[in-house]
Amino acid sequence: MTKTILSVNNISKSFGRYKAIDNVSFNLQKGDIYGLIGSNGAGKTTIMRLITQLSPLKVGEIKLFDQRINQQALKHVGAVIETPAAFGKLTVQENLKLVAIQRGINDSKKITEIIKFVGLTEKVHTEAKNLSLGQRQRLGLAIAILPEPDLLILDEPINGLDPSGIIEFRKLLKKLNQEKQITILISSHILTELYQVSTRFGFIYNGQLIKEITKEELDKANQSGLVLTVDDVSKAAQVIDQKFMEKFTVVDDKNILIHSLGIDPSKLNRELVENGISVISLTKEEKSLEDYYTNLIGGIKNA
Amino acid sequence: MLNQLRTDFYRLSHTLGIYLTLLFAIGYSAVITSKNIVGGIMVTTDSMAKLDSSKLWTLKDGINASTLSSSLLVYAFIGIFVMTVGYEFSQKTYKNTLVSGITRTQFIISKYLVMLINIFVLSLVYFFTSIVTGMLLSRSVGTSWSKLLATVFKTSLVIAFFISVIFGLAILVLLLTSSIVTGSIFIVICPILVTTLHNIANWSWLKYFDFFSVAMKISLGLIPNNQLWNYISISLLVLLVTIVLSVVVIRNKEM
Repeated sequence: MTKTILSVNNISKSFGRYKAIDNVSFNLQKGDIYGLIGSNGAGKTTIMRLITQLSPLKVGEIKLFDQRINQQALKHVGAVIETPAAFGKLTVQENLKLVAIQRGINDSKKITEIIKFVGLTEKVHTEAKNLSLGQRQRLGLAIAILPEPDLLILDEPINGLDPSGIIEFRKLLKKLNQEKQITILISSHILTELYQVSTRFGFIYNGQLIKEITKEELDKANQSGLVLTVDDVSKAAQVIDQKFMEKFTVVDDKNILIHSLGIDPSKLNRELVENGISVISLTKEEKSLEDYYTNLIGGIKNA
Repeated sequence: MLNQLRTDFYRLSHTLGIYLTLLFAIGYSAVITSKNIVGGIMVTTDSMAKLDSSKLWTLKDGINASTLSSSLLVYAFIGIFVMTVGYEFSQKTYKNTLVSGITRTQFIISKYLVMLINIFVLSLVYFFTSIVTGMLLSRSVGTSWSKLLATVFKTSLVIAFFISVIFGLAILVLLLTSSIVTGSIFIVICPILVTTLHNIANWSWLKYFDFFSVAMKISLGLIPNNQLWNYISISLLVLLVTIVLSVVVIRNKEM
């Protein structure tokens, strides 16, 4: 049974006459990596600020672990909103020690573990002001995850990271999600990255949540996957069903679309041939999250 | 809230500024006592009359001189305000603090308490330096030791409390203006403005808001006992209103 970690119900936020958030609702289930997608000023950060109570909520309701969000509930949340914050003149270790005291964590080994986890072991005695942008992002993440939160909120965490930093950060997030079972709400306008890490997506446009979709549904909608052209689709469908257990759609009497790019094409080819099926072609059909987003926003603008 | 207090003390103990403030307090007190001089600002003639610079000073005279000179401490202690509250806002670490589970009320009260305790401890060091300096110069106590120590404790407490009222107001100014500079300037201007207005406009009620002069006058026994509680209760009320307003502002503020 899925457990709802965060429930955002009909929240709105205005700054003067400008409506930054307009009646937004969504839920996060345990284990989700929920990617919030939207252009600059769409309202992603405002939503995160409302969840963390850095912005006062006047309209709507936010529930965390089934109770109305309050300071007590926030103890289960780690967050990096806008930019990672740390005391510049304190070292990496001192900044984390500070958080440990603040959160009542007495185990000093935990600080060492977290520093290792985020890959800052060599910078342990470096003052925060002397860290590179990527290292500061890691420190921000370390500060957020030190109290072992159930929910991690990350606002544009890969901004300013170099390509290798982005790859490492992606690995870190997956590790957090899989090893520590942390549910993650993440925003970014680098959609290729969000696609790589997220399991669900929410599209924000002009303060409204215009679409929610799972990664699976997105791949299906994008027709992403492997397109298989064979001489006998019914027999091929049986083999795929039995041997690979991946979701697929029989497109016509020659083509099957397997809704996964994770399947090994050579293994699939071998299985089909061994079962007497002639494989005419096997191609990757890949549309991106950007394509989906562009179509979605384009459709709304033209409506 | 206890964790937040511990957090701030840990951070301050790793900040150079606090040690510089401590050095200033020690140096300033040592110079006043050893050189038989009275520094500071807003020293009134009636308070000066308490001290006869021509005679050989006792330890008690040293404490009195340090008390008269302590008006400068409010400016030296601005660093405590900047380090305790200002840094949280300039480095945006309040985002981590406010997501740590602490309430806005606890946040404001803990910041106030950290400043109060720091000012109190630094004031104690300031007065004990005067005693140590006097002892090194082989001066007599001038009163009983118990009375001298009680005076040091009481004066430190009174000075810490009245300075903390000004710093409490500065927190409110900082929150209203989102500017550490404005908050710090307020600390500089507030005592001068109140004293000047008091002298120029002859508004007698302003004497209750001349927090620093009040601290000195109480310490030197220049305020009659029947008026003492008027001063203290008005300052307490100002402090309470300031804390409540600060909580209201921070609750409704876009952080």
